[in-house]
Amino acid sequence: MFHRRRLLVAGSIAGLVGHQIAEALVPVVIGLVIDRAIAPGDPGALAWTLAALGVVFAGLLLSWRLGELASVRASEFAGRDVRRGLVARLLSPRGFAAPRSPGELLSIAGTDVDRTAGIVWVLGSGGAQLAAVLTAAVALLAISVPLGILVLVAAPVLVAVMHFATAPLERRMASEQAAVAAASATASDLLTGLRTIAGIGAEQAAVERFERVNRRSLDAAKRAVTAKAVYAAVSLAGSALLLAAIAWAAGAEALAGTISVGELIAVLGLAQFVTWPIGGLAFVTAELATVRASATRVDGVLAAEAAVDAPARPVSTPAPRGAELVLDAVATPHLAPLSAVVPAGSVTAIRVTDHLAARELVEVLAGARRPSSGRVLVDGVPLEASALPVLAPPHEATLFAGTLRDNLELHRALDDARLEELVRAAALDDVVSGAGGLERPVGERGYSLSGGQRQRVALARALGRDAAVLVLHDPTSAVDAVTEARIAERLRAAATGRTTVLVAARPALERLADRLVTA
Amino acid sequence: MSTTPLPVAGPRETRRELRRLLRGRAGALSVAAAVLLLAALAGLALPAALGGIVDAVLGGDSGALAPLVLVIAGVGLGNALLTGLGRALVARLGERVLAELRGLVVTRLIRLPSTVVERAGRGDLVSRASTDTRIVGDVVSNVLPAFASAGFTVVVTLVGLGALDWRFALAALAAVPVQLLALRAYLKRARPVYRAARAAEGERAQRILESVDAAETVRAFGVSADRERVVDEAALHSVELERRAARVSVGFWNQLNLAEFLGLAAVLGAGFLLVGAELATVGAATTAALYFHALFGPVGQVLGSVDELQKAAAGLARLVGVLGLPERSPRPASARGGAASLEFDRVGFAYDGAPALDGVSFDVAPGETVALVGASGAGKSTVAALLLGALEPERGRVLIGGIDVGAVTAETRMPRIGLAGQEPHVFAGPLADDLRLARPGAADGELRAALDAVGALGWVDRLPEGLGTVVGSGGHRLTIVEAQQLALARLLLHDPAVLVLDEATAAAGGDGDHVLDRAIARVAAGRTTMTIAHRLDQAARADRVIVLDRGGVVEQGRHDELVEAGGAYGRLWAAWSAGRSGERERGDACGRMGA
Repeated sequence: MFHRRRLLVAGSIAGLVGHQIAEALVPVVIGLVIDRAIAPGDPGALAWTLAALGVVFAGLLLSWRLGELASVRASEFAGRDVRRGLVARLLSPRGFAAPRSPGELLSIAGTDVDRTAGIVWVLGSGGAQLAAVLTAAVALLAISVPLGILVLVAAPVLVAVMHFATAPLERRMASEQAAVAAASATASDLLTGLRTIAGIGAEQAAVERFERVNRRSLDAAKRAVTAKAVYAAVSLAGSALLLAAIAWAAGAEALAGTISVGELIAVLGLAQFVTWPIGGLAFVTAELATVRASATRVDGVLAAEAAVDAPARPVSTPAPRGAELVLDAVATPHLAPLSAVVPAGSVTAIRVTDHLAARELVEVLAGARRPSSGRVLVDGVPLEASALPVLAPPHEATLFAGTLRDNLELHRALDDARLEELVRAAALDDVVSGAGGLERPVGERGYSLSGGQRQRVALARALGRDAAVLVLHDPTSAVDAVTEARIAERLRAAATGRTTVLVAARPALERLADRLVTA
Repeated sequence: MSTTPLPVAGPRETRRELRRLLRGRAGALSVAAAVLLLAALAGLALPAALGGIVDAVLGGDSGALAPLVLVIAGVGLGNALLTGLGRALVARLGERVLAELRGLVVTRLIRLPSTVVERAGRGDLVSRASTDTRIVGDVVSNVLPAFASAGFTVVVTLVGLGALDWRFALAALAAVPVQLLALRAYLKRARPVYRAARAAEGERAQRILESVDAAETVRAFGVSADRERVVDEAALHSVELERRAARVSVGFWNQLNLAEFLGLAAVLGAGFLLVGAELATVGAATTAALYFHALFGPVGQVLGSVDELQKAAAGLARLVGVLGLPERSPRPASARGGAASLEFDRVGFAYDGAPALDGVSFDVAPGETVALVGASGAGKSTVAALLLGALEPERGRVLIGGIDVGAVTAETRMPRIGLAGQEPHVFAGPLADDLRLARPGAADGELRAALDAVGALGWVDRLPEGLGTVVGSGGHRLTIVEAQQLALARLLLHDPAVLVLDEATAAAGGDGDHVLDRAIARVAAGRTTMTIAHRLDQAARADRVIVLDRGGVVEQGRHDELVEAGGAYGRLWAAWSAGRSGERERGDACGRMGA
């Protein structure tokens, strides 16, 4: 995901590494100031050593700017790329052989993609911390070989000890996050179903249910608090012991005269500093594991088995009088073999009383499901190879945030005359005559409209498409009797110029069909 | 109806609520503060001991080294222990307060009067309960403990610098103006950028969710590429804002680095002058420089947390705001079962001045089945809401089992009311838990009996884990018919005396209608039933039909009588039955069979 942005990733790592090196140099320069300027009382030395401090800070500042901005840019764009691929797979006509819950997919498209792209940060900060420890070790080696070796030996030991302390921390923090998420999800779920709760007088039961998850969340949080505190104490204690050891060795060397006072100060400052990157390194493996887990989940979706082979659906002009549709012993898990000939340009009702069978038949006609046996022919050509557009939207009327017009057009602009026709055919007059008319926003998923209104918008949307065969599955099931009768009257006129198939048992619509097929 | 968001508490109200939550916890609060103070004092001893080593080396005092090293190890370990303990105490306290607040808020939200809910919109409720509690919770568990311990360290270290020599502390203050300016600019610039970035992220998530939820529709219409573009536009916008936020944050940290440099240079300069004037030892100058260097981390921690803390304060104000809302007094409910009479006596009700019901009167005998018929907007749903207690009549009286709903006291025992709505919610979690909302503590046998009665036991037993299968959001997806059956099973467990069916089978379609008709007949048996029907075969099966139009009763009587009379209902029936032919008889037969 980063091959096109190699330079950016290099810049981000270089910046973060440079920043840590500059941080490591600050105590060294402090030692220099004290040793060369303060102890001998040399004003000239004060000037140049403070200037050196300024240079180190300038480097610190600029490398941070470079590292941070490059990392954000690299990880954000990487996230966008991964997300784009993921959404393309989620919406791909191939579908999924094993459906997944939208909640899971959203969490993968959100958190997991961000974590996967966060590899930039893990590598950048891990590399920077390693560089900081090595810089400190090199500086110490230059001052005194035994001190350098002390740090080079102690650092891996400390990283190992802290890594050991991070294991329960990671685990408990994960379970805390899960418990908090569960409490939050329970609250949203109960509040979303507030009407249903009121309908069965279950307010008290709902409150008690939330209190239970809330207690679990508190218990998990308390366990995580303890683990975090233990980790903080262990890492601080390790740092203190390392500091004491270095102070002892460096003090002894300074007393023996093998290192100067300035060098002693630099060593003590470095010893104080080096514990931070050591603590950071202890987390790298855990962070890498998190990234890997997220990347695996993303890959799982990208590589998931498809429901159907990618249908080659070339864009084509619709057949002027619609196409002939032939069902040749089409069967699905709930549908017994069904054969029917739907003449081109006709309105044909297929009565399928089992609602699961009806749903599966529509899925087959939509090209979203392979029939367990049999085949579908469009003007004599198998459906999957047909160049003629067959439109078979699902029964659930799903709308999108946006205006009424956006939903009727659904990414294919229509002129006003055509929109007017559609509004009339689907008896949408009451919706359009309200404030805003066609520009009225319908809200998230069209939820500002009633169920019946959404279904009529979905019907108009389907009628607005130039399909050779239009399959409508119980298109008025949520519409009241009077409006349904009105739609039935008008649908006939809207159906000319194409083949219309009405699936399922809405007699008011069956009436206008040229022929009736019973499954 | 325009939306009125739930209120947000003012700063004074928020502080008062916070004090109330902390009242019983003063002991824990002072222990935590004392431990963090001790930790900071122990931390202070470290640079002092390091400075002591410098002085010992300069004085050639080799005997002083070993005790100083022991001091470093000792206070270092003490500081480690106390810091861990102090943070744990602060965090535990914070988590307890948070859990209590979360419980209060969600309980209040669940019991809000439905008029408040409808006006605010469910989205606002959900965001208070989830987003706001999460923002406050994140800060309590991740920011607050470190902030508290860093705060103590900063204050104690500044005092330590002053104790060393007041001029060191004065020099260190050189950093403060730059820090304050940086913080002010950051807060001013960061807030709108962060808010916009979060909003852009939310928009992206929203578009992904919408597209994923509608994947079948998207595929059917062949608009995958268009939806991908819609998502990607939001994603690019989010990337742009994240980068802008990063620039603001980098600017802030750069300014803090500058402040560190100025402060450090000033402290070193002061050391130069003080040592030169023999007012301080080189060791003291070293200690001062190391003190200041050790402040970098805690100062960054404190200043960097201000933004998070402010966000949490805003979330807190939104949570406390909920607590100021009224609570709906639950109607005292009587024992389960039985059938009760209903009476509407010249009832009037208006939504924001627009009349929904105007002088509606009718009676329903115990055990009678009445269908309410009328076009949308005729007032059918208002009747249901009044029966359920979701709304109170503005004029006239509503009597259930002879009891006026407007004159209920704690001693009154109202007959139970149950409602099945058009879009039943399937609660996330095991299916058994969903059912137990209606009857807490019910045995598995009771649940199975209820499922069996509504014809759902078959498919429930075929689920991967039967009653234990996780359903609802994030779980096994139920069909509309299955969700309706579940809602009816809940009603059976609730066992109401009066059953309100609000277009309960509206969206099923196909034979789902018949499956549900049978289930409804089982649930309705032996109860008073009010059906809000738009499929007129449901009305035809009722004992009586009441026709509503523009907020008033225009006709009522038996189905046959009304059809005969050829009034409003007769015309509706003619339109409805025109195409149904044989279908109607079958529907009838099924309904009777079930009953």
